[in-house]
Amino acid sequence: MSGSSNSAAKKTPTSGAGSKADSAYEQLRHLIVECDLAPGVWVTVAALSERLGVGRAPTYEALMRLEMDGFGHPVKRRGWQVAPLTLQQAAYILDVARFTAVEVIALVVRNASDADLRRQRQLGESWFGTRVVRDTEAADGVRLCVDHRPFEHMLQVCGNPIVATMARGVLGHYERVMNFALMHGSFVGTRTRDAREALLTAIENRDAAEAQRALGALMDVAEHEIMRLLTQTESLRETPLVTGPPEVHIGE
Amino acid sequence: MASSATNRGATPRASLADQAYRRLLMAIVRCDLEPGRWISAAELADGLRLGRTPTHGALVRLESDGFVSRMKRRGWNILPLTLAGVADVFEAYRITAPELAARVARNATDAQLRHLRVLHERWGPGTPPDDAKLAVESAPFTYYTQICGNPVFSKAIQGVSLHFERVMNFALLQGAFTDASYISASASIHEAFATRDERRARALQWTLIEIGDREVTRLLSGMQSLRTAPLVDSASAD
Repeated sequence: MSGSSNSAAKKTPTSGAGSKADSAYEQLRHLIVECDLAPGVWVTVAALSERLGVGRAPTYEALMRLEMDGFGHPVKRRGWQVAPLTLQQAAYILDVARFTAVEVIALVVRNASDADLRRQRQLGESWFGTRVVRDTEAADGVRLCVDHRPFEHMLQVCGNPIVATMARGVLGHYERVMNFALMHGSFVGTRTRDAREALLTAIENRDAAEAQRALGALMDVAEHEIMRLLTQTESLRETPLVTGPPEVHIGE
Repeated sequence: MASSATNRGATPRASLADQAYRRLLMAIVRCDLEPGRWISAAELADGLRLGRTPTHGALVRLESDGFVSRMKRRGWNILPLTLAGVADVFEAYRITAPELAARVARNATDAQLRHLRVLHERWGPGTPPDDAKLAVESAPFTYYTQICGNPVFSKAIQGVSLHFERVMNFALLQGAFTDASYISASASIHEAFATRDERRARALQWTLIEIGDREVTRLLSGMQSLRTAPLVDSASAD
């Protein structure tokens, strides 16, 4: 959870070993949130360290931190499992994510600079835009759009490092659930279009109350979709994603 | 080297680093290592008897948690409590804790609620400074986060709660919280929990934060030099 900009600014040149682990952590977290490392998948330190091109020690340290974040856990003699997405787990995440995001957006609207707000709008637009397109596109399209990471940007410009650290944990899990849902064919439908427009406009106009209302409405629709999808999915523990990279499966 | 061997070899080291982290974190949250103090990693390692590698690892983690910062040639600094920093802590707690209160009222068992009340009453407020050292060990705020019935929430709020607890402990050790309205509101919130009144618990949590914010801000504003604010004498006596 070293994401807040203020702690990064204080890094000294002496933290060479630490920064390798930091970078391994960020890369792995990204892979997990994007569902590139799919929920429930087994990985090994050796395979991951090779994939990332860093040593085993920083990879191991990164996995320990991800475990603390709730993104997975080690099992003796089997390696490390990316946390599966169960219905219960998704319910826990959605319960926290909604009020967290709604509070953070109010901070963003209040504290961010005009340039940051414009950027926030752009990221939101391209993120949503690609997501709506996703309906008919290949999974590669989704891969591109998750890179826009509007939530990540929200945290960087919200102006409170403690809130940012807290919210980063929650919204990382939320993004993962969203990405998982999208890759399984769920999509943000036409119902969201108005709420989305309202949100982006409210952000630009610095209307905190309206931004909160619109974001809440958007997340309600998304929650409905996600829960519907997860209820339909038969065995969530074992569900591999179609795009899951084969080299990270256990059994090497 | 097989990955299982890597895991086995690394486990004892990990748990030492974990121990160091937990002990340092507790020392900081309880203000045994008081805000603004400078320390060296070597000195800490000796104190903890845990070796320099795990101690260093712990400090790096604490840095990313926002409890310490490091500076070349000066060592490690326990982050001082500034007005701006404390405002961030209260803002974060104000966002999360009322939601926590509602979930505790809904999901905690009766036994958990009774235990929470015991811890909270032992913590204070109104504790004489001499007893405050013992009071902070009851750590009601940490327990509070663990009984909301949503593990994702518990994990997420942990960091915020620890920052909040440090601020509140600091104030308690300075002899703040003699405020009668805090005492009556904290009695009321336990009644709201016991009767499973989510709305009331949420509102009372908000009130408690407001009172806490006021007390702490008053306390910090009254201090001349916030960066080097020492704790009361009793802190260094034992």
